[in-house]
Amino acid sequence: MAVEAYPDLKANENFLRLQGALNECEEQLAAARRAFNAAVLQYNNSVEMFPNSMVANMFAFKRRAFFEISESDRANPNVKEALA
Amino acid sequence: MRSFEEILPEVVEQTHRVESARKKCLASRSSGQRRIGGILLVTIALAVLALSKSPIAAGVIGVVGLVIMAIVHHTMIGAPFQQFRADFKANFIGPSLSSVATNVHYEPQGHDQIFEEYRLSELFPHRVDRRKIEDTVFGVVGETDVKFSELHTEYKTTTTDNKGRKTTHWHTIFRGLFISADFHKEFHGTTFVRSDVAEKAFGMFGRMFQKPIFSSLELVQLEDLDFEKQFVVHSSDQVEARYILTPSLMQRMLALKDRFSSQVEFSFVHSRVFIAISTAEDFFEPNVHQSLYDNQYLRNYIEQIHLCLGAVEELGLNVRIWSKQ
Repeated sequence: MAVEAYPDLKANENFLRLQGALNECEEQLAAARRAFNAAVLQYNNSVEMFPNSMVANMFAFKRRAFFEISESDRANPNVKEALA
Repeated sequence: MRSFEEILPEVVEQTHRVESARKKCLASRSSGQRRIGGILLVTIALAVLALSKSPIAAGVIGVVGLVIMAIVHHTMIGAPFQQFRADFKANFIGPSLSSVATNVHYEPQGHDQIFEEYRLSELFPHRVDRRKIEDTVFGVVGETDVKFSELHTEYKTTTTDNKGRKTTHWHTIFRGLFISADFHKEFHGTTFVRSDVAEKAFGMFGRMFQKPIFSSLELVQLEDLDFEKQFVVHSSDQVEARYILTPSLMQRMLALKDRFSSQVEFSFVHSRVFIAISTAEDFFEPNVHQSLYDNQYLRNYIEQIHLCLGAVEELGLNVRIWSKQ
C-alpha cells in the first residue's frame, strides 16, 4: 500500500489496526502453508522410502503436490475492494 | 540500542563516586593485608617460643592468631569490598541500565520473580531444591517488557554408603542468564526450541530420538537447515509453531546463539518468550584493581548490558506490526 504519500494515515489508529490485522492474516496463512508443505514433504518421503514404499504401493498411496500460490494470488491484497 | 559513547556522559558523575569508593576499598585492603602479615609473623614467633614449653599453648596461640586474622580479613578486606561492589552496582550498573532501557528496576541481590518466570517457561521441569538469583533487571526496551537475571538452579540427591553415612550431592539444572520478554505476537500453545543434542551426535539417525515420548507435544521440522542443525523444536501446535518461528526469527535466533557462543534454549509460552543461556560468566562484577577512569574497562560492562538487553532487538521483538499491541 502506498501509505508514504499520506503521513496522517500512518498515525491513524484505525489504519494501524487494519495494517496489524493484514500482517496477522499474512503470517497466519504463511504458517498454515508451511505446516501443510512440511506434512506433504514428510508424507512424500514416507511413500518413497523403503520399506514404507511397499505398504504405500499396496494401498496405492501416491505422492501429493505441495501448496503453491499463483503470481496473481501473491499480489498485495486490495483492501478497498475487500471493504467495499 | 544506545552506544557506549552516548551512555558515558550520563553516568560519568556516578563513576567519580564509585572510583573514590574503589580507592577507599583498595587502601583498606592493602592496610588489611599488611596487618594480616604482621599478625601472622607475631603468631608464628609466639607459637615457636611457646612450643618448647607447652605444645598446647602453641596450639592456642595459633588458633587465636587465625581468629584475629579472620576478623581483620573480614573487616578490612571482605566488608569494604562488598561495600564497593554494592556501590558499583547501584551507582554505575543501575544508571547504565537506565540509559539503555526505560522503567528500569535493578536488584543486584536478585529478585524471586525471575524464578516464577523460570517456572512459567517450562524449560526445565526438574524439581529445584536450591536456587541462587543475582542481578535481576526489570525494564522496557522500546515497546518490549523484559526481565533478566543470573540464575543457578540445582537439585540434590542423597547416597548412603555401607556404613550408613549419608552424602548429599548437588546437581546443576541450569546456570546462566535467564531472560523473559513479551513476545510481539499473540499465541495460546506451547513451543520449545532446544539445543539439538541428538542430531549433532548421531546425524540423521538422531532425528529418531527427537520425537517426544510421554508428551502431548509434537516434533516440528522446519525448512531452515542451519536452524535444524542447531535446534530441535517441539510444539503443541504445528501451525502455531510456524506462526511464531518465521524464517527471519529463525535466523535471528541463530545469530543470538552465535553471539553468546553457548547453549541457548527458548520457550514460547503465554505470549512470552523465555531464553535460557547457559554460561558460567558472572555479569556486572567489578574488579577492585581496575580504575573506573579506564574507558575500555567500562565499555566491557556496557557490552554486557547490550548482550543481555540486546536479545530483544536481536530477535526483533520491538517490531509491533501484528494485531498484538
